Amino acid sequence: MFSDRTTTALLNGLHDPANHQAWGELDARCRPIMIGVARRIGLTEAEAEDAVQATMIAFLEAYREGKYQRERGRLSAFLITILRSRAIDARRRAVNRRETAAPVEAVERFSQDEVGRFWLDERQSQLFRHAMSELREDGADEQMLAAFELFGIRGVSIGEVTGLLGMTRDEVYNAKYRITKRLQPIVARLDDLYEDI
Amino acid sequence: MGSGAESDRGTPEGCLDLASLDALAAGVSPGSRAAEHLSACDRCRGMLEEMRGANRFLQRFASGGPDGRTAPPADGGTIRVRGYEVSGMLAFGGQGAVYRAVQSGTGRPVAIKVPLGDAMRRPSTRYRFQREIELTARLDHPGIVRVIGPCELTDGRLGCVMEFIEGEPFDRWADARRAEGRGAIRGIVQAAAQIADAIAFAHQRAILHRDIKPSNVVVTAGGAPHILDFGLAKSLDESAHSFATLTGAFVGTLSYSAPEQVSGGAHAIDMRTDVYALGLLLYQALTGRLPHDADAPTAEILRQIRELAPPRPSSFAPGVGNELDAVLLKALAKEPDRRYASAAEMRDDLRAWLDGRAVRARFDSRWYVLRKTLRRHRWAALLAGAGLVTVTTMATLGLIVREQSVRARLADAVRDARVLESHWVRLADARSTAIDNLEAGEHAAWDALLDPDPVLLGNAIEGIGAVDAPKPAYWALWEIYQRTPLVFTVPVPGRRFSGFDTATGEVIVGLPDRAVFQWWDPSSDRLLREVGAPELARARGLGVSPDSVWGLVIGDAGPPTLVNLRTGLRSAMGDETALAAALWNDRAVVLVKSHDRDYDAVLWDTSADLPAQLARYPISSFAFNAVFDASGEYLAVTTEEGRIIIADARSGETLYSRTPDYLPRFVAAHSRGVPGEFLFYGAERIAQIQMPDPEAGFAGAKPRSGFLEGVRALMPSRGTDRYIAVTDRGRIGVGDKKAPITEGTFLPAISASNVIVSDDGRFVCASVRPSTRTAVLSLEGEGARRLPFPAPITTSGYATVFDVEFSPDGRSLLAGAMDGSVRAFDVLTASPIGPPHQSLARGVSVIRAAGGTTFLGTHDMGLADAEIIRLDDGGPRTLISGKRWICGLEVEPGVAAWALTGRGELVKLNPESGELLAQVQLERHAEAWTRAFARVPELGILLAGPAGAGIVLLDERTLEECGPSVPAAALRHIAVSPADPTLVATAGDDGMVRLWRLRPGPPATLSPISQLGAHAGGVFGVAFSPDGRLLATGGGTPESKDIRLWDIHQTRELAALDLFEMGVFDLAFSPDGRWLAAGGEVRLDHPEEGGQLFLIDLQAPDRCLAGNLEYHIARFAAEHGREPSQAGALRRWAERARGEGQ
Repeated sequence: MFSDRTTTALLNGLHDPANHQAWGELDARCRPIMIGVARRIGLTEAEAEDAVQATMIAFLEAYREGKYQRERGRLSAFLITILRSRAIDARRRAVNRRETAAPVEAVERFSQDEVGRFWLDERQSQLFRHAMSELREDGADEQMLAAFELFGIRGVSIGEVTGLLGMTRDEVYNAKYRITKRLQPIVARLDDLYEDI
Repeated sequence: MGSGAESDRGTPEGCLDLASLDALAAGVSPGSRAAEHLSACDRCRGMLEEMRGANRFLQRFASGGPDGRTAPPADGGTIRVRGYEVSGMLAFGGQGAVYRAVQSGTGRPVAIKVPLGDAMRRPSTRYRFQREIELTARLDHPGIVRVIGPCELTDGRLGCVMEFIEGEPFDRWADARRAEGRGAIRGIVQAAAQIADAIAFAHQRAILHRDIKPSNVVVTAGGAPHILDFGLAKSLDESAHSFATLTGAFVGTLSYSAPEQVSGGAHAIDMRTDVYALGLLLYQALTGRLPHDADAPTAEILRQIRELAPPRPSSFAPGVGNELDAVLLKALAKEPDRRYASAAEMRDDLRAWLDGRAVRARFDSRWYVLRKTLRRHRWAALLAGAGLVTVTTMATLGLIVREQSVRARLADAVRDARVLESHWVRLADARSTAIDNLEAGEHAAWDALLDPDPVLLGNAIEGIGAVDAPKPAYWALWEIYQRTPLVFTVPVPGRRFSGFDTATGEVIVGLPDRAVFQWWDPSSDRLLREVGAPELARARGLGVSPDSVWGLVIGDAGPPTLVNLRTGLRSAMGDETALAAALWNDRAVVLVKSHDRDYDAVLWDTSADLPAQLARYPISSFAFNAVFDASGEYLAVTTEEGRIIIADARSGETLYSRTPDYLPRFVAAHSRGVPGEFLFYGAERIAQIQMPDPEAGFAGAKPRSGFLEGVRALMPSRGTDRYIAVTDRGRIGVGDKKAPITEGTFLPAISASNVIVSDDGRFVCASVRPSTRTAVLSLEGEGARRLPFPAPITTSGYATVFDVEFSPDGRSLLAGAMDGSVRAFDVLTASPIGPPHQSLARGVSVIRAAGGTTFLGTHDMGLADAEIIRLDDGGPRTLISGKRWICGLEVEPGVAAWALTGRGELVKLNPESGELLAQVQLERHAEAWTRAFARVPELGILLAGPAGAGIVLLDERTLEECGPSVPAAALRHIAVSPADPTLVATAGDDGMVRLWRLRPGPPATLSPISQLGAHAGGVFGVAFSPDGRLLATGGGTPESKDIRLWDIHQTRELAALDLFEMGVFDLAFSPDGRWLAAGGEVRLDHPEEGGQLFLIDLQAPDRCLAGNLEYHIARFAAEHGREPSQAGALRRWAERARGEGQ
């Protein structure tokens, strides 16, 4: 689920308890980022799901109780704070249930700043995925997308990419720059939509 | 990008090409010519600025990659693998990604390699990759990164789990050594010698690397090198190919390729290719550069690899010296024949250099050898020189004699070494060739059959060659049909919707382009009839009711149309545009956006030709998902926002309504064919609800796994326990209705849509890509049918199947089990004949059917004595008892029965009366279970292998030894070829399958001929086909539980079937060679299911191909203007196959 509503619009919609659509859209936007962050600080899949679930619920309750005020900070910073503590809780529960041998300290050692950096990385990935899927839906040539991804993003050498895809060097260069050109406005628009996230 | 488009039309005179601009945009300083041009050319300057801007933009996605050069792939760089905790990506390259992980149970750190692209979704590639992993997992050498085994990612991809070695790539390590200076060369050569030793070790096991390069050699902090990806390079290459649209393009690491690799032809690649790569590795490590210009354009690199003689390494690194020059130049010779013949030879030379001995690479210079020897033993040489004069006369004579002796021994050793070496070379070649042939044939045939491009088709058909001879393509087809059971295609191009007529088994195809419904007979590939349906022209969906009477066509606009598929009558359902619909036998539900702009579900009665509205209720938001449960009693609708409404499907009364809680949401409802059950899929969880209590299901929703990638549709097979899942990627999953919802297996990777499962659960009809054809896929699985072997009939143990035996006429199959039962099956129908023989109180270890009588040898299971029992019209009769257990039994009706017992005795008795005719004690301490006993009636010889006694050769009349025994440890099985009584196969606990030649003598002798290869664990079952061409072997342990088929003439493996969970105990071919029966262990988690017993139809592919043969031949003829050269032979073969299939 992905909509063209900005974060502001979605947050405004959350004040209405019946506006499940706004909640769903915000969830769709933030959840993959948070799952990625939780995994990067070492949570297992199950722990990550628990932590993110708890984070979203805590955020919603806090938001409806007026505890989150946008003028006092970015939404992402608010979520990161909750996520970090819920991640520690999730690990602690797992330790208590003897589901893991990994210590709570392994999660605690990540500072707020480090978690914030992971967040930015995951946000980038999320934007990139969305932008690429839009390009695909828009009918972009799969081979060009593959060349772009390999050469432009993953840094695979031009020789390898030509060999892999059966394209000429010029075609690969063209793919890189043409796709980039199409990607730029999409990413700019998504950046706007992801304001504060 | 406009500038890019311009470059398509060619680079204007004097302007910079894209490569130069890209380099400049990446920060490379322009040369004087480029700078001059840029200052004068607005166009190039503009493009450069644009490209710099693009690079800045890409930087935000491309930075922060695991090695600083690359960024994580779009999946965020994480994978999920059952049993492992993946902590992050270690590296990413053209072949795939490597992740760091910890084994959950043991905490052991591992690396997981996941090949790039979708190639691993192809069954053939996947199978081969898995086999390669299994093969290389046996390489246990300190210089080779140990492969632990294959693993499956939660998204279905296959990965390879390896030992995790912390270190740095070889080139980086060597750079650091060179920077240190002193001792660098020696340290590097020492490491290279260790690498050579590891490569030699693998070569001796017939495994080539094919892609040795610095990044595939990791050096630990202690300086120990470890080679990565042994034996996997080929599979990984193929994975890289998956990105390619043009096959045949060079894929690999060009700079580290040998001349024969870049010249094409996989057949030219052998051990010496790895030697060449090792030479390059060492060259670069010592000099800091490659012998060719790695930065040159591809064509130039190729030319240099093929033609340019490598410069002496000492010209770049003076400390290298002449000896190492010689070693490297020999390793890097353009012609493989002039290189070291093996990595072992190169290793020996490197060690010689390290020890200061003469290197073999310079053997052509006698002066060099003498000089080197004298220098090494200079003190001894001086002393020898001083005493030389006094002893010359005496020594000369002695030296001559000694020299002759040494020369003779040397010559012998060299000859032996050459024989051994040529053996390994041949083995490596054979293995490589077999894999290449299989691959080539398989791909061609698969492509041809799915999408019969005439050229590919021609290759596949022509490649079959003489059908009487086993050719690679033929066996490739065999493989395909066993693993990818495509049985029928409807030759209708274009957009279409498919379904089954459940009453007749015909395939219904709706063709929007032609606005007709067609009915096809899948058994004959014939079009039966067609009915016009104008609505199809604008259809975007088609449903067929469970009873196949109704079709429902949904179009882009307007109401859906109900079509009576029997009569052709059509009725519009209302006047509102349908979002989605679901169809039951006498009801339908249509989701509409109503005229007042709200969303409603409308329930229709379709029992008459004119549908009537039954009920209408609001669903409040956009919805595209409605489904009836398997009983037709309930109806579920899910809306996009996650609202769920379950209604009575007869009255439309709402029974349950779930307002979407904020988490978790479920947005897709499915039924897999269990009455009253619905499955709701959310982004993270699956709820399995059972009416009339849906809440419990939602409360117990499970995290998604198994069909993780998202389920587009579930379809039950009404007549069976199967259901089919079609995933978002178009893969077809097969699940069991009784099993947990997250379990299931996928059919081979075919991108499928419009998937329909037949009523009897045997077939799936689907539109498959890239062929854009409708295909019918068999769900029978692996070409093998499991026979029902029910729960143990006694409590004495599991019903593990010990022995299988066909009746002489081949119509029935007998299976004896550990619970003492003997069961008979009809081979053609795969159904039991009568009740099991239950009179036996102990395990049946051997069954022999001879002369209309069945003889059983029993196993006392430690409770009582074993017996040989005769089963005939008079019922069971004990011929002999008290023999602990009967390992082997051979019977010639009216003459004698011979048996090997668990006490190491060989007995001969009258098969009618049981009178003991002779007895001999072969081994007193034979307590191990073995089945190693065979009779060669043509030669009158018995071969017995009681534990610890090797193979004993006995005269069947006197039971006296008629030749020398042959040492053989822990034998489990002996088989004699029916076509050649002098050909014997043995197998045992070492997992090796050996072929022997039996010569009658006197004295009789048994001599080894060859080894076919090894199962990872012990082999329990061995059987020859009646024509002696095939040998089937079955692994008896969970580590190696597959059945393998070997071509005896070509001494190579043809195929492997992985059907058993625990192990195979016995194999038997039917007398006509069509069937292979396999019996074995129970499943540990389901012992109540009884022993595993499979009947494998070896001719199934023949009949399948025969069914489509004329169509393929016609396509070939249309393209080539002639029939395939083998058309006649193929027709004869097809006719025979069809005849046998009836």
